Amino acid sequence: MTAEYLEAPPTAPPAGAPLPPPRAEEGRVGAPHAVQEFWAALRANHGAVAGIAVIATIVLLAALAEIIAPHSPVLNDNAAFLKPPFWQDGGSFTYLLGTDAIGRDMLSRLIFGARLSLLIGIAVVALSVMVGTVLGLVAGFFRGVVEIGIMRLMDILLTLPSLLLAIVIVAILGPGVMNALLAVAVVVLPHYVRITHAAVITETAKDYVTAARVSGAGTPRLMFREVLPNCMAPLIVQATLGVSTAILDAASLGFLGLGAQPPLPEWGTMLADAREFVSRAWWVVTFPGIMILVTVLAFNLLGDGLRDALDPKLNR
Amino acid sequence: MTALVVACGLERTYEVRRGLFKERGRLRAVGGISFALAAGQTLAVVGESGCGKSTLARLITLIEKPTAGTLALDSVDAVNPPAGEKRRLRRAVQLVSQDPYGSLNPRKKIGTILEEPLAINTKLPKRARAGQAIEMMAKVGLGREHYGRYPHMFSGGQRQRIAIARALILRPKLVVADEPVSALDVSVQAQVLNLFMDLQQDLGLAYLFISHDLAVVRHIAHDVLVMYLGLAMEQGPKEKILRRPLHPYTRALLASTPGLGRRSSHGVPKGELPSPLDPPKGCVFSTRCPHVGERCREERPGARLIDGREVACHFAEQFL
Amino acid sequence: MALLEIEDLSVTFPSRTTTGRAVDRVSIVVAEGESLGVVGESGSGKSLTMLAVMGLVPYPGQVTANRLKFKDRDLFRLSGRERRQLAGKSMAMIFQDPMTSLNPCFTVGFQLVETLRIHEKIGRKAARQRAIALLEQVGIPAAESRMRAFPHQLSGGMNQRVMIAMAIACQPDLLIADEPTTALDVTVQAQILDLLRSLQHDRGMALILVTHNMDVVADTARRVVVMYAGQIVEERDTAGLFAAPQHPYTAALLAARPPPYPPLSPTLPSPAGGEGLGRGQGKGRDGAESGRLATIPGVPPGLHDRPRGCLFGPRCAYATERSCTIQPEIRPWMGGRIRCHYPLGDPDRNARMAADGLLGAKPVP
Repeated sequence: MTAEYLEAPPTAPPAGAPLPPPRAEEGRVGAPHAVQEFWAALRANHGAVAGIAVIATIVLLAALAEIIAPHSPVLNDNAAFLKPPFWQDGGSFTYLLGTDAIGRDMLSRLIFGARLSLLIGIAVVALSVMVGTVLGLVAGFFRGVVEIGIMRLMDILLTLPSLLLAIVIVAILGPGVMNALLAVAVVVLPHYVRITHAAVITETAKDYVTAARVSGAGTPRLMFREVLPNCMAPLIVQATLGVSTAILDAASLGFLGLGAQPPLPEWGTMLADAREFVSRAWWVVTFPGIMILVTVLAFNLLGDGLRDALDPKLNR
Repeated sequence: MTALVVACGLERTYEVRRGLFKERGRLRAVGGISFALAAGQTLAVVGESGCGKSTLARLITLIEKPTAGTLALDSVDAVNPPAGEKRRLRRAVQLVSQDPYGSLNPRKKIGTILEEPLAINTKLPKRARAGQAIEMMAKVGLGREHYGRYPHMFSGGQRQRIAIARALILRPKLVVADEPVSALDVSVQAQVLNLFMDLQQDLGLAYLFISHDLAVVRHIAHDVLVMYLGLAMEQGPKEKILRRPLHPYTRALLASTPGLGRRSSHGVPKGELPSPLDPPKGCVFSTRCPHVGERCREERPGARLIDGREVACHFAEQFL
Repeated sequence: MALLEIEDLSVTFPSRTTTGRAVDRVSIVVAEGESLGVVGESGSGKSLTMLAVMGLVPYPGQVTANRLKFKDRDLFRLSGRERRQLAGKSMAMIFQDPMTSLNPCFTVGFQLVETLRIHEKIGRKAARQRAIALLEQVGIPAAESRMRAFPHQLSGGMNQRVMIAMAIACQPDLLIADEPTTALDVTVQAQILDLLRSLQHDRGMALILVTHNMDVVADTARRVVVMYAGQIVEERDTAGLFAAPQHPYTAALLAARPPPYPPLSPTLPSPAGGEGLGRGQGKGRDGAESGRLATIPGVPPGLHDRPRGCLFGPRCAYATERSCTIQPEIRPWMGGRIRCHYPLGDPDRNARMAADGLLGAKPVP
């Protein structure tokens, strides 16, 4: 009993005839490009768009600081200590957001401070994501002693209070921006290792990894070409959230005097320097605080949006 | 005709820790399987979950090494291949797995998925690889327009076609198919089974076809190997085994397969698979066998040649 | 007397642009103590129909029906609370995956006792006694000690038995089994089907067996409903359906299965009256060119791209211009019901098909 109707589509070319590869635009038929798809999903999330806008503004401010900032961030005006912002009694339009205890312009310091704070946030995340991903992949692929070694070390790092650990590292390396950056990177590293490790374990159990292995793919290829792209979603989200953590941690170090050294402007250090004036001059404390808050919030919003846009279950 | 695949006493055991202070257990997933498979032939491995058929697939596809026994592909030792042969052997055996949703990397386009084995194993330029991929897609019934799409845009049956195309793109001699149709709907199942048979005829492939569905096995196989708890219960030509099964387990499988009036509760084995960590002392099927005798509980039967097939049962003659 | 009456039940899923009709005007009547099979491929709406009866359709889905009555009570008029009570007690349902249907945090005994205590209002001791008795009834050996086992400590077959025990705990009048054996091995599947059949028989309970497997229905149900793309396409008594399917889809589904085995040796009791029903006695592989299976071209339509006329039309070998434009209504046919312009058993279908302009020019197999 054979009721065989249609097995191959009518477009099937004669077997054996050499075929030209499809042109690029042909390959895209019916399949929106991954980046376009991703951008469309991200744009649907208003929070993420707002986050991107804020981050872009801050990045612009930092990049064009020399042009935008009305004053030098380090030079002090001996005639104007703790001047309030322009809308308060005693304020002037020369110093829009007032001056600090030694007469430096708050606005300029905030603008220049964005450079260092953003640099710390992004560099810390980049460093810890890169190292963490590799460690997580290695731990996930080489089960046994290697895995136990890496994961237990990360657990130990996690059990220590993060600020304490950072202080210890800075104390060993000596204060300074670079060392604070390294210290914070070490502190946040375990999160990325754990996320990657967990994702690698679930992904390696799937059949496509076995299939790639059967077709002869070696371990590095499996790790970076097959498995890693499928672990990226949680990593990217954690990374954007991590930017804010890094800024806050660096700010705490700065607050303790272990981060950026004066007179370099950095939001955390600015907060720290201003603590004795809290009751007399609210603006010296409030503005750096607001900047940190807004940046952290923007990165968090972007992180939430990225998570949704990268989740295939919500996307399709 | 020399056989393409010759397996002799293949064995794979795992060490399992049962508890922190308890003795380590030995789990024998595959315990001494032998078979020969010629080009253009299909050997169906039948059994229920936990019988070791998937481990056998991993041994044959060279993902795992057997703990004992030999495996020869094309008369070359595949367990410890001679230098320079390893890569060639790898290419000769490919795998099609059960789950059409997990077996394709969700982040890669179909074209990339199909070209990847070529990129790893050959020095073909990109253009030639794409040409081969499209040719193979046509062979399994996919159109050129599918080249740039992602796996999530395909139905289960189409994904299984893609998986087959990927397995075939290196021109293997043996394809190990691990339950390739059991996740598919009936009408799609028929399409994929037909595809398997057409490809075998066109390319002279040998199949190691793993399935629990006896109706499918009867349709596609030449030889059948029935496994239970890692051991071969009965193996031989399909016609012999399915027409007149001599092992009580094969008979139980047949009696359990549903179909209008085909099945009665008689002959359905009682109970469930014993723990593979603690297999019965005598015949492994003795705990569930409706025809069990005293001897079965004491002495494990070896394979005997009866009526053109090998049976591991003390009392196989009663069904002749 | 009818136990469950469903008339024109639809389940729709509204989306931003269109409304997808996942279940389309389904009418089913189940008598007391009857066993009914509902067959269809994935996406045919068979499970969703049953979920609608149980009041378990997931969020955006909307259920409408002319009539939905269970034991002469209108299910739409019941309050949520009354409906939940009814759903747990008089109507019970078991699902495909026994491993995830049980809560992994509690022992099976605890879960069984809780079910009994909620619905029967009996004491802990009495409930425990009943629970053990139930476990024994569904064929779980050493029931008393298994009460303390967690779901992950039991096999899939054992868990499905526990699910069945929970379902029949309150003596339901109707048991809906949604693919109860799909996740199980063949020998265990046979055991579970035997159990369901004997429970249905002994308790006079009605059973609705939802499955994709024609063979499973063949053994278990008296009457079969075949669903395709949300609609009932054919309904008939089991023997009649397998002997002479009337809808082209049913016929194609039956033909797509590899042919049944040749009769076994005499040591197995020979089945009564079931020889070679329905399917062609294919010769299998050794029968040279006849080794190919019949297939249905294409794939079932999705929720949002249903064709205009007959839903099966685009895949049907007998489609005419008429079937592309006019959707056939379901109508009584040869002791059952059918939704087809040209049922296979219609003596003058060839003439009518020719008159309507046959599109699929394939000869009748």
